[in-house]
Amino acid sequence: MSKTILELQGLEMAFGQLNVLRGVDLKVEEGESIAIIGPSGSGKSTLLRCLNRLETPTGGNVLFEGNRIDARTDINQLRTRMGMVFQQFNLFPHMTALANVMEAPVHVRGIKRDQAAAEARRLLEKVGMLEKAGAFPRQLSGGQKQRVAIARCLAMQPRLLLLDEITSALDPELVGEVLDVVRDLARQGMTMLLVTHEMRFAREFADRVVFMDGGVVVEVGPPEEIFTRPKSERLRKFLTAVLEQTT
Amino acid sequence: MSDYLQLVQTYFPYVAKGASITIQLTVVALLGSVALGLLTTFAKLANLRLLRIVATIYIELIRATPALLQLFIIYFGLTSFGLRLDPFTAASITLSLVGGAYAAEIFRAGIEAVDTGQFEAARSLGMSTPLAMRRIILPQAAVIVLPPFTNFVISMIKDTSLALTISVPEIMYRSYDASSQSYRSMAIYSMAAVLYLAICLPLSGFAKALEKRRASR
Repeated sequence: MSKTILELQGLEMAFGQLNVLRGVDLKVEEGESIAIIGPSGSGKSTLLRCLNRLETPTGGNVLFEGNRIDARTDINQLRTRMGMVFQQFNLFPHMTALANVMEAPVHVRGIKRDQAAAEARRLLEKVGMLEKAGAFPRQLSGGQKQRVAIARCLAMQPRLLLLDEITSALDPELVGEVLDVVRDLARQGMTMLLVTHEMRFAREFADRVVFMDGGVVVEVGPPEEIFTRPKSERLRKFLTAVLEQTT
Repeated sequence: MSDYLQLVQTYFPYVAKGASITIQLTVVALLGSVALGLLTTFAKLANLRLLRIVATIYIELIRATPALLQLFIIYFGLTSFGLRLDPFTAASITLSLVGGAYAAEIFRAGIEAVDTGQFEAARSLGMSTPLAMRRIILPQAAVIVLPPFTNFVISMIKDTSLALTISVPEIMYRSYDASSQSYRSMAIYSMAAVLYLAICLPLSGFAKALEKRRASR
């Protein structure tokens, strides 16, 4: 019996006159890997940013682990349970890879340094970055930075991971190493929402694919269905455009 | 030439003693500037509108009036309210007020130069705003701010010469004094120049080295 970990009800987000999200409904079960695809400007990244309140939604509800998130929610507490990985990595440049991973456990959770360091090493090993534990971000490649960023996120033991176009800033030959890490996490049952332009990966990795366009969810379904039997004209058009690009 | 040596022997120690006052005044004014500058920066970045307005008024008032006028208001003007400050204190307060306004602008520029993604990453890990500031933003801003701040220190050293006008016995006061006694303005003021150069040149070299190091990173 799976359990709903996240539920969006009519989520809306407007920047001034611009309605980026116009009523998004979505239920995410625990352990599910969900890929969110759609043309740029469709509201995919904004959706993720509304979930952990980097943006404050202008309408609708978000229920996380059964609790409604609103102005009274302890946002810092919420964010420790909902990790986010960014397109631009955003590693802390004045800290080593190890210190990046230890930072939040030590300073937010109050975990002892040696204990946090041991856990950080374990996580760096998991993403294949243990030998670079003492390196500063500027000494790492994009793919290595992103793997450290994932480890940093995991250090808070989140229940849900939000991955925002995490391979879009990488050179093509570095994409694979990052996606391998994501694939591992999915296998271990981590609940993930992944905004991506990597259609092949979305198809292979996701339990369900969400297609967004114009600030709404147009289609949701298992990858085979979304990619081989699109129901809506908009999704068909999008897939044709994307496939043309890659061939 | 020997006459010149004679002059140096007579007056240089007297003028050089002013260097210690100049440095003391600089140090006190810098501490004041940094404290006021940080307060003002955080006030400008605060959510509370009143704080932002107060900070803006302070910065604009200071920047739009000459430091010499501010010094005279603090030293002479305040006596109308029965407040008589000794010259060193008056100069320290004035230079702190002036420096605070300029330092605030330097600090704010430094904080704003840190990529917003850094703040978002810190917040997304559950850090509160003050914690994210202290652990993530300020250490990076400090590196960015170091070269302009070093230049700020240099101009502060030079600005302490304003204290001559209220008889603080720093380098300028003493050289003015010595030159009016000896009638040898060129020689005496050259000594003052040597003293300022000796203090400021190493600092400006330091600033240049910092900028170079940053550029090569």
